[in-house]
Amino acid sequence: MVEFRLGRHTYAAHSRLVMAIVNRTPDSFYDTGATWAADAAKDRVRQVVDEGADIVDIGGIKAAPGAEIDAAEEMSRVVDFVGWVRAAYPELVISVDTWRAEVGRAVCAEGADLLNDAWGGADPDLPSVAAEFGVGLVCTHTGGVTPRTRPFRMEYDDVVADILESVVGQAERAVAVGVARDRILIDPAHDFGKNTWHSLEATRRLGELVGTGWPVLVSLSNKDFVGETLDRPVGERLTGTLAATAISSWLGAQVYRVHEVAETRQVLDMVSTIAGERPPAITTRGLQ
Amino acid sequence: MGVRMAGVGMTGPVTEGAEPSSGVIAALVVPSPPMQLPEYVGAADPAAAIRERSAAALADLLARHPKAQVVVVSGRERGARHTKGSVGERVGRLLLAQVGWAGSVRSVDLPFDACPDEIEAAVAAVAGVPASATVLLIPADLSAKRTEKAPGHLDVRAAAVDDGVLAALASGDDAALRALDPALCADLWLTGWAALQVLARCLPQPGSARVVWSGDPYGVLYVLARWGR
Repeated sequence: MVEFRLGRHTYAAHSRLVMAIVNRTPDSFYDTGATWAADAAKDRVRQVVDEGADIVDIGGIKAAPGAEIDAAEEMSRVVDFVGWVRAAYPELVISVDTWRAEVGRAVCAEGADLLNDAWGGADPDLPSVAAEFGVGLVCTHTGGVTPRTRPFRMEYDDVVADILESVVGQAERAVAVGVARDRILIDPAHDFGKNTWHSLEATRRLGELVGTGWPVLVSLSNKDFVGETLDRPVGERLTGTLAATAISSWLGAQVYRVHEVAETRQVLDMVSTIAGERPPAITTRGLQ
Repeated sequence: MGVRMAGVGMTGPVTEGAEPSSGVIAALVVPSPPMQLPEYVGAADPAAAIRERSAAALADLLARHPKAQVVVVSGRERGARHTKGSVGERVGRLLLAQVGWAGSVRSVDLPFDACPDEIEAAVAAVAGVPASATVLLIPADLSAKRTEKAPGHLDVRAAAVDDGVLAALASGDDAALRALDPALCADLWLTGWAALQVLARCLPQPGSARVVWSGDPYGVLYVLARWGR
């Protein structure tokens, strides 16, 4: 991979992009409904753009089990909102976190740029929607679990091999149905179909995903594998999240799906600069 | 093995009347969460008490039947994505190692959602060495859908089904175990269903039955139960 595209933008292979989570849900684990109201969600978008987000990822259904949200309800939560973001921020890359093709079609009609298939191909028609609208697709590893179920005693001989087989297979199938090759990302999906040991190994061996040549998205933010590693509840996992972010970025991941944008932006800029891929913001020390 | 328990282990035979010389003479149902396996234990060992309670019960049972062969009966996922063997078998062998069992051990596994033929095959496999007295070690759990934070989230039907299984284990009611609805048990992530079917068929109408302990600290109901012929 030399470069990849999202929305109107083309990014170099060594880019490190912030994807800000915008929940249109009353019950997601981290913000617990803070952006459930439309005005609060709009404020969230304004804030994350100010803080340097490259992408917003809009979701209408929390990942954890709970009350069933049908496609109509999901669309009522996200479709018009995507239209508002598109109008307000023409350059911003808009991602929508959905596994349903019919929701994907509706949000693409409103201007979404990327379909974040966080449940790993649960609806096999979703890639065709990405192809139809010329948008991007995130291909995700879940170990084959049903959407909105927790992992229960999942085991793999080699979790990274399972991830690679799944996400590369999804990516190639997406290309086969017409999704642009340079608009596809792969995501190992920490905590999805994985215990903490699995997510730690996926982090440690992230270079193997980067080595496939597909741009890599990681979703680490405040997750249970961070919480279990440091024995910290939700709300006290930022430091651990940022440590995992630094490691992942050093190993070459391109997109970071996060709650805390400003902190993540700083970590990614620091890593990019250490890597020699971004100049320091200012250099006068010892140079007066 | 990272865990070793003082006071638990084989301390020599303790006879309890005349020991039957053949067939299944006793069974122990034990909790089977993978978190008690050494490969999954981190800095803390949250299932230590569960594992130690199981080991103590196993040591006591085997002390009464020192010449028996042990058969570990466990469920496994159909179409597993790994070759590690069933968690239940690994839990069973861990417990046997922990109590220092040097006798014969065989393993019989069957899918969590075994069909009748697969259950009968497992029963036949248990009876494979009929000349020997056999103790069944059955790592098997009840529903994983007992609370909103449970692995399978809350299913309000779980409590009643679990209560029925506990009552059957406490009273030696093999007919009640056989009568469990397999589809409902699958819905409830009651992964012990298939292994308990083997228990019901291999040790029907037990002379003694007791639930030693049960609990659901993670939203999965674990049970430690003992049957004797």
